[in-house]
Order: sequence, then C-alpha cells, then structure tokens
Amino acid sequence: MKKLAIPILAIALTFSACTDNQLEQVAKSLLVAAKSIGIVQTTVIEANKQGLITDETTSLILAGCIKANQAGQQASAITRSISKLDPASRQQMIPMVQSALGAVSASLVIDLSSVKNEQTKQAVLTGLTTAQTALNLVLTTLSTTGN
Amino acid sequence: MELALAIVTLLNAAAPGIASLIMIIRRKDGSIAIGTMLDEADQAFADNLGQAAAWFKSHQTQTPPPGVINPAIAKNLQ
Repeated sequence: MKKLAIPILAIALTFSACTDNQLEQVAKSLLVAAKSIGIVQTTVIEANKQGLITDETTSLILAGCIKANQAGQQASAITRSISKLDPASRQQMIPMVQSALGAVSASLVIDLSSVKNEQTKQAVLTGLTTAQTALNLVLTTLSTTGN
Repeated sequence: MELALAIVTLLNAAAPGIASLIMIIRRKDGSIAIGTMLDEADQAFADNLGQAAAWFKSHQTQTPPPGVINPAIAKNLQ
C-alpha cells in the first residue's frame, strides 16, 4: 500500500490543480449563502420562541429560506458534478441561483415592522443581505466567462 | 477532479490515513477545497431545511406556501 501511496498522491494532486477558479468561487459563495441563511433561520426561530417576532412573519421568512436552501442544494449538486464551468453547466445553474436569489430578495422586503427587537431585526436583515450578496456573486461568476 | 475524488474515496476505504493526508494537502494547496466547501454547504442547507421543517411541524397552524416544501420535508412534517 505504501508503494502505491506516493504515485496515487501525485495523481490526486495533479488532478486537483486542474480545478476551475470560478468553480471554487461558486462553492465558496454557496457555502457563505448556506451559513447566512442558517443564521437568519436560527435568529427568527429563537426570536419567535421569545415572542419577539410573530408566527406569521417567522413563517414567511422561513418559507423564503426553504426555497433558497432547496435551490442552493441543487446548485451545489451541479457544482459537485463538474470540474469546470462550461457554458452548459452555467446555463443549468443560473436558473437555480436566480431562484435562490429571488427567495432571499423577497424575504428582504417582508415587513419587519412588527419585530420589536431592533437587534433581531438587524440580525435578520444582515443575514439575508449577506446571503443575497453571496448569491449575487455566484450569479456574476456564472455570467462571466473565462477562468 | 472527479478522478481525484474517486481515488480519495477508494483510499478512504482502504487506508483512511492516506486519504486524510491527501485531504489535508488539498486544503493547503487551496485549489481543490471545492469538495470540502460543497460538503459543508450541503450539510448547512440540509440542516437549515431540517430546522425550518421542525419549526413548521411545531407550528401546525402555519402552513408553508404551496410548492415550498419538498416531498422529503413534507414527509417529515406528518
């Protein structure tokens, strides 16, 4: 096994160097979006438990987050299946990212005036804005050809 | 990239230590951390969906909009 290890290691690293920088950017941004959406969800659920945010508003925000999470999962699955962002994979991913972006953007315009706690409101807005920025970056990357 | 990941997967079954070494080098190299980032993203998306599903389950009066919940989550909500 040891004799095989070094050549295999070399092969693995050779292939690893063939990755697409844009693909890396997409993966990184998807991760940021996923984490940000998670922060938003945790914030609204905790605030809801404390009675700082209504069930209706929590439901609306979580519904938007679910849409974004599902689209993000699909985009991630495509990213995982390719080694380079070719025109076909870009076209396949763009609608999914647009869907996630649309859901996050829609959540950003939900009326948060009923949220009495300013810290909660800011945490939700910051999380959604971060997710929006990350998804916008994915979209820009997918729309930009080249490496 | 796919081949590299396949090799890592095979090695992981045969010799976990070597596969771990490759993964460490991958991260330091910086160019093939994509798989790791996607793993983390997938896990985060899945955790988020589970968390949202659990909230809707405990707040049955709140109906998620049609088409929002996928079948897996809908099953979880029952």
